[in-house]
Amino acid sequence: MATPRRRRTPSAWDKGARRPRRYAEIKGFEIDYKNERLLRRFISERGKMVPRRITGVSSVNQRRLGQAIKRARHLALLPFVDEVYK
Amino acid sequence: MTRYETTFILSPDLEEAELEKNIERYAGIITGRGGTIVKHERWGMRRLAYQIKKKSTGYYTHLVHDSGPDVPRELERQFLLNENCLRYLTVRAEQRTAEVEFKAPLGRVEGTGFAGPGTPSGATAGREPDAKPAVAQEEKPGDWSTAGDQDDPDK
Repeated sequence: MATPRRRRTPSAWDKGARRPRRYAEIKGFEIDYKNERLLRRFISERGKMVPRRITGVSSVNQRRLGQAIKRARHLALLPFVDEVYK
Repeated sequence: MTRYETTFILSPDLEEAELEKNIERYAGIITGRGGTIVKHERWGMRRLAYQIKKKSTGYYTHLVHDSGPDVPRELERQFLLNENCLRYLTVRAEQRTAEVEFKAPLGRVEGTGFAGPGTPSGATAGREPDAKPAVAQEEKPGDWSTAGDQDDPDK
């Protein structure tokens, strides 16, 4: 009986890192470049996209969000960079 | 025929009549080439998230249309020629896109002239049986704050 081989190096999750609270559940909301209100929740004050490890959205939805945010930026609905004043 | 969404931003310096003329022209390109405009939406004058051609506002128009592949190409050509067009975006859209209404707290940003409610949903019910209804039942009261909850677009 061979001992099972480890397939990959353990990730932070395996080491017991805390999973994000699923506050960013977006089920039922339309991920769309026109849905500015929704997208604003997934960018930082600076205008950067918030990573999945923070928001806790699924990878599929994160990709959709990314696409939508980029489109919204192109149309100047969202900033590329928002300077933080004060 | 493919369903497209075309959004474009016209210069705020245009006068009402000129604005109208421009929009009509683009609509004409679509219909003139056998396309059908499914939804003609004016988001109106809006503040831009960043300046484009030294302008900080712009007049947004959003068209959903069923067109052949030559239409987006021609639109793009015309947008590029038009100095009063600040930005444009054409994307292939889902069939149901014209009916989608963003759920209450998310669709409208106050004071930006976003079209918001007013589109009757389910107008073409049954066209896409597997399409989920645009609105989900449950309200998510979750805490969004850390993601930067700013509804103020001109911050």
